[in-house]
Amino acid sequence: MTTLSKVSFQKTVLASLIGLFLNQSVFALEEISDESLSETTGEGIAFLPENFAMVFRGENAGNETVANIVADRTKDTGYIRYIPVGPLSSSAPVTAGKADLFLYGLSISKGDGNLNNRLGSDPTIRSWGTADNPWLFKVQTDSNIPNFGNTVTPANNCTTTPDNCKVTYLALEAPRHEFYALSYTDTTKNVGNTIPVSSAAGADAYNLKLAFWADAFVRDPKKAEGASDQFDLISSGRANRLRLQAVWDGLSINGSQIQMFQTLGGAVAGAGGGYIKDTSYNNTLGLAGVLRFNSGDTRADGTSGFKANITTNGGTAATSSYVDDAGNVITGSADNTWINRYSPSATTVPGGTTTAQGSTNCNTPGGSAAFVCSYQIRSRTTRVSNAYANGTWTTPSLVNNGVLRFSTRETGAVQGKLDSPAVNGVTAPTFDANEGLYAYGANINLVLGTLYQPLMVNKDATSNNLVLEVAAIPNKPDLYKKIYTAYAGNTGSLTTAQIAEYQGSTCSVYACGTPIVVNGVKTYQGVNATHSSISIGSTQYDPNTGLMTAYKGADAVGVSFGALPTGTVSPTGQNYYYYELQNRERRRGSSNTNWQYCTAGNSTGACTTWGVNNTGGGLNFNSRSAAWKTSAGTSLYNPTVPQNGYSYNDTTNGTPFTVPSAGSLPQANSSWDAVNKQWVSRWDGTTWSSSSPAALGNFANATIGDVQQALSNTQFTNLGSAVIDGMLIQHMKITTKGL
Amino acid sequence: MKIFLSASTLLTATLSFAGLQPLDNEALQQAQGQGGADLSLVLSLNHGINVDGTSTNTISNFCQINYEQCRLALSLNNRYSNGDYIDRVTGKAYTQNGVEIVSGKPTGDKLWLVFKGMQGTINLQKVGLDGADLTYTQKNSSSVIVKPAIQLSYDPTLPILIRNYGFASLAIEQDSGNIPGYWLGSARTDSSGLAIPAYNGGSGLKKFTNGKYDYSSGAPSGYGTSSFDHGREIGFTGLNMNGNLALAGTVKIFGCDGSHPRC
Repeated sequence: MTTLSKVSFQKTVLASLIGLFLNQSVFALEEISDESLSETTGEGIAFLPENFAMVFRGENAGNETVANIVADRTKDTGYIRYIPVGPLSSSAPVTAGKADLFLYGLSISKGDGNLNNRLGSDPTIRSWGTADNPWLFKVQTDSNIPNFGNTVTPANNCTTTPDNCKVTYLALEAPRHEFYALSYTDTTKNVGNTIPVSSAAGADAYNLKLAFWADAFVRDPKKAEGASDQFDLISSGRANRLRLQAVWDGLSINGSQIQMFQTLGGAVAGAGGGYIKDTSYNNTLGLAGVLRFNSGDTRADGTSGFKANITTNGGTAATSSYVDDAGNVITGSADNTWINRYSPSATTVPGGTTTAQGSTNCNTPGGSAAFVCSYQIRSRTTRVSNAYANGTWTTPSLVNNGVLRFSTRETGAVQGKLDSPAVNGVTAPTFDANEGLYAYGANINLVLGTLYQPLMVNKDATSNNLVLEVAAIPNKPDLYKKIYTAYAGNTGSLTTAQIAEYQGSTCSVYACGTPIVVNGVKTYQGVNATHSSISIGSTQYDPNTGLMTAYKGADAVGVSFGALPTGTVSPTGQNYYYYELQNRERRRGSSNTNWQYCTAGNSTGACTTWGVNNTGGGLNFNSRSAAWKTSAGTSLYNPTVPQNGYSYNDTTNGTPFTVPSAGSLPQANSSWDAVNKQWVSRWDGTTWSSSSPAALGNFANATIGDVQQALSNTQFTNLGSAVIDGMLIQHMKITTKGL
Repeated sequence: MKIFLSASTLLTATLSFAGLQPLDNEALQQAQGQGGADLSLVLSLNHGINVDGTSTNTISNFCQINYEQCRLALSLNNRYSNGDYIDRVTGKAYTQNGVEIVSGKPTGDKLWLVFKGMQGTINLQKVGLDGADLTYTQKNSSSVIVKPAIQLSYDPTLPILIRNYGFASLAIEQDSGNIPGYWLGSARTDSSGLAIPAYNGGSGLKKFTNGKYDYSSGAPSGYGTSSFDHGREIGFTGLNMNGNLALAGTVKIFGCDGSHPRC
């Protein structure tokens, strides 16, 4: 055993520590005392990677040239395997297997904007941090940390009260995150943009590329490793593999840090008053992490904001054609190609009754027997194509922003479903360029534990399972006021001064606690925030309140299935169908034996002018200048249902006639247009009565939604942005199962 | 990151073998003009050795038999099986209920996080060791500090060869009387004369004999001696790495003292 409790912590101690571990076959470490750790408070070892890049190549790749490493992705087969040792939980169903995970080709390099390439052609990160802002491994002591209870017994480094304790921690810190410009209502608080622009000054740290690909199998725990059916769970013949590529281009982990320390005490079994009762919190290994994975400034406001650029230049197309009963589009024909629908020459009331009587005219049937009416009905379906020719949709620039992409589809020679380099020696697959789930502008800032609320690792009380726990927050004002945030809004009876006592804040890509001032200038974002924030895509941020929300415009980008198109894309032409139904009518009153023809109607189809009485046989609509009128409703004639035929003996006019039965009209129903992928409703609200489709003017301008819809039909589905902001873990406990 | 840390920890481990002392600023500045050193070394832990001296890249026969001696155990959470712990300042022992233990010693068994089946061979084909200066602006001042640093450099054309590096399983073990938790396994008497009984227990899928899962009898239907877990040391997720880590660039390492804006 190696006891290191009295070794003062100097630069080589860590190295020596690890070296000593490797000296023996069995290593047993014991804790380093706080006393020795705190001797070098505030100092540490800084390190600065320059011209850095790495990729995990297969063990058979040999020593390669740089050109080959950069060009050949098929040898990215160096792997990390998570071996699924240990029995399944007794409550696991028989259909559950073990996940056998292989992580291949892990690479860290400079981003190049290519979301399907795990290593760019110019992969080196010029300077990951700077000499002023390096990586840091340091030991520091923070004071005024409240413990878990209301007692200082055991002593716990608490000087006078249980609210003023010291915690000494070992921290690994990434370079601090610089500021994006922030404009406050109080302009004296404004912060300028301090993000470096040159790669020598650390700009590449905001444009990293993290990539890997992975194979996961479901392993049958009953079978031997290496057996031919090892992945065929319960011999169901469904052996398969989940293959996944993950690429985060434009990533920054600046501002991240992990702290390791011994927790304070104060938890007492049976404690009342909301103090912590679980003594496993006392003086154990505590961890605290600010884990920041950011793509960049995704604020959508302003012309250069992070959102799609959509132009809608208005419809210019008006080529029209008509559709016949068989659904054929007849092009080059006149717009006024009508199809007679009901009694080509002469008819009476549609629907099979021999008489329909209205009190005053044929449009109000059901009254006393004042009139007999007869109708002629016709329809036409006009198609207007390429309605929106000039709408464009342009993906925002990704020069200053990153994208997280997961994909699974392969391209080219697709490998067998159980192939994997570590299993049978195949090469790395080639992934499809555009498929997958994309998270544009993903910013993930997680606060996992703090010095006040540590993340602890323990053993389950009744088994050998591992427990990960983020401490519960006790009902202790000195402690919870360091974590909670008093948001604007209903603050009850709190005074301004009392509100200010709540020191919690949210770690987002724009701010993460108290700004760090260097030589009088707010240079780095803080690291003492207590709440987490996750956002994907276009956002809006208010620095006054620290509130981040999703940008809700139709031009928001974020989660997308399939790559957003680069450059300008014109939507494909849209076809719109206009259905017209018209009628002509005549009437014969009970006191009038001759037909009276309607010569003018209004826009709703009612007759406004009746012609003079006409006598004699063979009278018909055409010869009497009857007016075609719009049929705006289905009260007289519903084109979507079949019509019964009948005969009518027009004894008065001396010309009996027969009306044949008719089916529903083929263009009248709403239907799915498979070619243009849209629903077309040819009946509802699409009638007009003039002889030409004047309503063309109605679609002079496409909407943003039209353009997005048009694109969605072809290449990708943009689901817009999403934000989870101000997330606080009150208490979290994760226990492994099965041991 | 895991890879990078692993590689760098092993490298620094080697430096300590070589008996290097920490260099202060003055000593490093005096070393200007020297070309530095290229290091090439093979680190092998618990792997067998071929007749030509190279690693077999597989676990050694010794570790297959004496698997209890091929573990890494950490006790980081200051916790005993019955909840006893030691106060961080006074050094006094307390029970789970916060009552001081008069004898000053916890009565429970100490808990260990045990990495079982630790192994790996790492061939650092080339690591450059140089000194270099860097500059930063002094804290609360505008003056520029010139700081000497150790510079490690890596050549991507000579990747770090990582072979079968990792551990077979990870477990929480607790002491058994005077026998350390990480020392439990087969029945034996160790070199100090301590008699260790066989580490047996559990039932069904959790049954283990000599610290290894044992499905030779009493296992649920379908499980047997050819099942995946049978014969593996008890615990959960193991880790295994294989490949050539092509690493490019330099890492400057320097002391972060009070003059630095971050320290």
